[in-house]
Amino acid sequence: MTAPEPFFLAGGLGRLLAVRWQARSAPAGRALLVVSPFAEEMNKCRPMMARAAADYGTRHGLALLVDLYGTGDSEGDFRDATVARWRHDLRSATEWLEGQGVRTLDVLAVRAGALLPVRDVLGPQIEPGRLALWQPVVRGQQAMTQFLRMRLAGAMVAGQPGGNEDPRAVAREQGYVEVAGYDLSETLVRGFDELVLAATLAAGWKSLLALEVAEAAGESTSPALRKALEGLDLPAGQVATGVVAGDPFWSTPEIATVPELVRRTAELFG
Amino acid sequence: MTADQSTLESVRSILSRCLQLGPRAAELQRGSALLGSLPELDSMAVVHVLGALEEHFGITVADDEVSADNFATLGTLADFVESKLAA
Repeated sequence: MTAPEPFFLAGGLGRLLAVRWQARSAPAGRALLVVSPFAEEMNKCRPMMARAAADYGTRHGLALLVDLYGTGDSEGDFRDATVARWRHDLRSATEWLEGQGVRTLDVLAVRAGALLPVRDVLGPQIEPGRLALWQPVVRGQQAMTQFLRMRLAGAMVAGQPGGNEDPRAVAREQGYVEVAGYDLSETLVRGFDELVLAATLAAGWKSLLALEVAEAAGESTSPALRKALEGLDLPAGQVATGVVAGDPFWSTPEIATVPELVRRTAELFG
Repeated sequence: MTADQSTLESVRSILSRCLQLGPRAAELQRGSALLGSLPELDSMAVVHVLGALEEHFGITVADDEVSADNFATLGTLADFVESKLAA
C-alpha cells in the first residue's frame, strides 16, 4: 500500500494542506482526486477517503486529497470560505496534478463534495476519466438546511430556549451564521443553496458510479439520486448505481468504515 | 396519533444505525427515554436522525418541530413521524 505524504499546495488565497498517495515506480499518467465533504462530515469521512486513496495510489500511481480553503488543516478561516474559493482550490489541485504529468483525472466525490464542479475546472491538458460518488448530496439547499438545523438541535439538546430564528435570515443580517462551532458566511450559504447534483455532473466523464450505503445491500437506489442521474447527458451504459450494506460512516458518532464501498470503487477504476 | 408497530420498528432501526446503538437498540421500547438518556444523541446526531427520517419516510420536518417533546421517547418520535405521514 502507498503511504500518505502530507504537503502544502499553493491555493489561490493561502496554502492548502494536501495528502498524496504516490507509488514512485508508477508513471503518473492518471490520478485520483478525492473531493471531500465539509465541516464535521469531512472528519468522519477521512478514514474512508484515505482507504480509497491508498488503494488507488497503489494500483494506479497517484491519489490526492486536498483540504479546501478554511477546512481541515488548510489556511484560511472557514468564515471566509465560499463555493467560488473552493472551486478555485480544486483548480489549483488539478493544476498541481497536471504538473505531475497527469493527463486523465479520476474523481471520488463524497457527500457534499459531489456538488463541487470538478469537471469545470479541468485545464485543456487533462481529460476527465471515471467518476465515483459516495452517498452524494443531491441538492445543496437540502444539505444546508440540515446543517443549519444543528443550531436548533443544539439548543434543544442543551434544554435551552431559542435557536429557532431562521438561520438564513441571521446570515443575511450579520453576514454569517454560527452553527456548531462553524461560522458560515452568507455567501457560502447562498452559494451552497444553489448547487444541484444534476447540474454539477457535466458531461464528459467516461463512466460514473454512484454508491449509497444502506442497512441491507438489496435496497434500491434512493429516488432522489435516481432522478438526479436520469437527466444526465451520459450514455446509459456508462452510468451505474449501487447500494452497499453498512453504517452511515459520514455521520456515525464513532468512526465507521465500509470496506465494501472501497472495493466497489476500486472496481470502477479498474 | 399513536404510531403503529412497523413505524416504531423503522424509527428504532434508524436510531440504531445513526447512533450505533448495537445490541442496546433491541432494548428500546415505546416508552424508553431518548433525549437526556442516550448519550449518543447530541445535536449532530439529532440532525442526522431527522435527516434519515426525512429521507426514509419522505417527510419534511419544519424547524418548529425540532423539539424536545418529539425526542422524549421512542414512542413520541414514532408518533411524530406517524403524524407527518398522515398530514
